Amino acid sequence: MIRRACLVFSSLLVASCHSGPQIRASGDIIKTDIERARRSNALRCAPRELASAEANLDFALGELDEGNSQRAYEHITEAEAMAKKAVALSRDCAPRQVVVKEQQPQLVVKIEETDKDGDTVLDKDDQCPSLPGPVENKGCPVEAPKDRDGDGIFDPSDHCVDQPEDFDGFQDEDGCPDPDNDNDGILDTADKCPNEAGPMQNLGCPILDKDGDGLNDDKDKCPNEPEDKDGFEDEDGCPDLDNDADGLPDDRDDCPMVPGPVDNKGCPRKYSLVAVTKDRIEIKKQIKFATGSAKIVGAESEKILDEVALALKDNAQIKKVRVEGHTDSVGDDAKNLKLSQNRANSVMSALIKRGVDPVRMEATGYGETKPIASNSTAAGKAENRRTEFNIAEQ
Amino acid sequence: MQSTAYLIDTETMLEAARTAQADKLAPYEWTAANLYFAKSKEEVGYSDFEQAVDYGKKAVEFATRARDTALKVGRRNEPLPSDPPVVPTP
Repeated sequence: MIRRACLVFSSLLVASCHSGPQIRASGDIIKTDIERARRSNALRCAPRELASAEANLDFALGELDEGNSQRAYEHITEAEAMAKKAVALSRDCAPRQVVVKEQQPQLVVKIEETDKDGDTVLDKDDQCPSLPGPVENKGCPVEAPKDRDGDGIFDPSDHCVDQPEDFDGFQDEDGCPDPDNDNDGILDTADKCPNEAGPMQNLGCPILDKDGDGLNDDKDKCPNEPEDKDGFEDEDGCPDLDNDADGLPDDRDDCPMVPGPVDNKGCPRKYSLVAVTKDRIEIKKQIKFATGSAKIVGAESEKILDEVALALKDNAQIKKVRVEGHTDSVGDDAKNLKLSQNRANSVMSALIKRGVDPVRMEATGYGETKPIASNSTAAGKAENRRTEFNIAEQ
Repeated sequence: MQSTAYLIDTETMLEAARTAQADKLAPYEWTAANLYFAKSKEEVGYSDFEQAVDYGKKAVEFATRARDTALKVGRRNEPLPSDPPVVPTP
């Protein structure tokens, strides 16, 4: 028992002896040894020792980071031993130096006729043996023309010998710089279109009229389509091929400014029994029903319904019309309400039979609740018995 | 568990490397892979799973390199197919 306690105590003592900084310092030395071993080709001569040294060093640093100095010490000890072994084993491992046998000096045949400057004029005939030059100038260089501004255009051809050409693709042969190619007053560096004159407000680019309709593109809503100039919205630059938007192009529309059905050459149809106003389709005569019934009677009623149906077809902008049934005050209120609803339904079905889309209609009976004239006179009552076509949506 | 997954991967890769004779043909990588594998297992024992995963990753890397290097070296050492077969002399 006492022996075990001593053992634990001694191991704790050992652990406490090896502090983190000490181990890290040892690690740095081992790293140097590892690098030395690697340089000496330990990878070939002591691969196991090298791997072990590197791995144990890694483990030691890992354990230190975790705060386990005892385990770190064990690994650093192993790393140290392995690194030393790797260095020792690889001492004679580096490739041996190769001695290249010295070459025997070769015999050189000296040629007396030399040409030092390589201009094909032999030195004995060359007046400038160290400067290359053509034969006709006795081997001396012909003086090159000067280029004072150093723009690569020699002075004889340079119109501006002291100002270097700017080489911007515009008149680059004359040797003169062109800071404003298009002469629009805006320097090329700030000019979005340096070769086309244009005002400052358009960043130096010309204001164009691509479609040639007389309106410049900056004011033309349709710069690629010429305005048709037919007196209708000619200021926007966009052609209006169907001014009245009735589906018939203006060139085939007899009434281009007023919408009208195609089968009437684009002109509004003239109805004899109905009139389309802003909020209703007015009927000039009343649709007649059998007494106390919703049955439509009389040829004239049929004609009115024909025209109402036509008016609805001609005026596609009317999205929904409310077919209203109204009665006078004679009789029971509830019965009147029911009768007016039935009559409105009856008119709506007559219009559906004439090809009007049912989605565009709704039928409502109001009974005697909405009189438009006095119910105390016969004439007033007759006015109150009526069918109305009010536009509910367009 | 991630650490266990790495240990399984390493075992598989080490087996593949052994088959390729990495212990002889790629001793550096083989030794490193085994050391990291053992250390990873040790860390699992201490329940330090983060360290175990780190070492496990390195073990897999070294094991893979060991296998690849062994295969490459093995191929280089193989006789060329056009070489005549060696016939033992009596």
